[in-house]
Amino acid sequence: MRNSSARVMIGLAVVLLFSASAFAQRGQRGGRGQAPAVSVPHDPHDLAGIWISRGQSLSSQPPPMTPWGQEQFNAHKPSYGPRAVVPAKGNDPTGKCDPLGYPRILFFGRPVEIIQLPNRILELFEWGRVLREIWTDGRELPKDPDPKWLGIAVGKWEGETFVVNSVGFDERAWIDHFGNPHSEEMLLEERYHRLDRDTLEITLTIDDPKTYTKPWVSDKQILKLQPNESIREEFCVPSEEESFNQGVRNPAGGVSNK
Amino acid sequence: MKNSWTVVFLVTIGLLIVSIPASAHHGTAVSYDLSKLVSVKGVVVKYAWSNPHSQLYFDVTDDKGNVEHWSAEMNAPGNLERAGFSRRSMFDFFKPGGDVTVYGFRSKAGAPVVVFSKAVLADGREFKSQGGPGQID
Repeated sequence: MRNSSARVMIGLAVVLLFSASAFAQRGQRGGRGQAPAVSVPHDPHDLAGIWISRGQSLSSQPPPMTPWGQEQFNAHKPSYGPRAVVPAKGNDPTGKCDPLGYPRILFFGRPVEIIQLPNRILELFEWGRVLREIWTDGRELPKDPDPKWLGIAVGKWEGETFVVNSVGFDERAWIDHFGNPHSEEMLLEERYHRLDRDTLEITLTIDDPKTYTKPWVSDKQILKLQPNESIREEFCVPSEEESFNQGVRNPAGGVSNK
Repeated sequence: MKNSWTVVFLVTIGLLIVSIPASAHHGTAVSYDLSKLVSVKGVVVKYAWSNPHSQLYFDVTDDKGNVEHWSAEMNAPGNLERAGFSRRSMFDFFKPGGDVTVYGFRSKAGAPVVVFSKAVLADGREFKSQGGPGQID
């Protein structure tokens, strides 16, 4: 009996090692020649570089929703996660190449390049070559902003942490692949901290009382430097997506084309 | 003895399944039966290098001469470029009229559609999925 348990434990350990290794290799695809992560000098106020996150949302569980938030959540039909439906029967905005919006684009598994200018920090996302501007020139956030897919962002340094506050989000965008909603009233705070040369940590906090009964504080999102990467052209092309829907996605999901 | 290895085997399968990134691709886990790899022999009709999904269309003819039109969901061009492939290399591989055996995971709805894993041409050359749920090795 004891021997059997030992064998099970050894088997488990081997499998976990194998799985972790396999996942790491997948995660590094394209990140050729990755340098060691620690003990390399870096400037904590320099966020420039190409980074990639493997996060999928702020955290696995959002705070309790308000009735309005729950209504939006129920109306969203994602194709990821526990509520997944086949894409042909869902309404994920990305299924028609609508903008992902922020912060969802952070969770899309594609690289982002951070570029620091004297008056702004730019985030250039590979997916759609989307450019997000974070103003660092001391301006204040607008009081009554029109909603934007990426919101409107300002940032400043607090010691070694770059703090970004954003307002004015278009509520047609989802927070993540799982259909978690937000309203136009969402306030987003992000705290960027470069832990070492190769690791950038971001903590996001969503304050959206119209949607959630309390602020949603994220797990620490870890982004890894991709020193040998480049930002490629990768658009979601509506006409090509429609062709894909007709030829593959709809029939695969058991939906006849019109 | 036999029971303990059975447990290890089952746990292995379970862990390998959960090791696949959940965000692998939009809806593939619900559209395709990822537990059963199938192979289909046919003739290439068209390869589409399109965003955000490339696609393969091929025809399969049964013993009675009936032709069924198949399609395969494949990697995004960006992922293929990152893995070292180009549009030209993909077109050169998937030439219309060429014999091909396609491996993949079939639509749960029973449609002649797979999420792509591998293609083998008549001369033995292979092309494998470069990530996502169709990747098998």
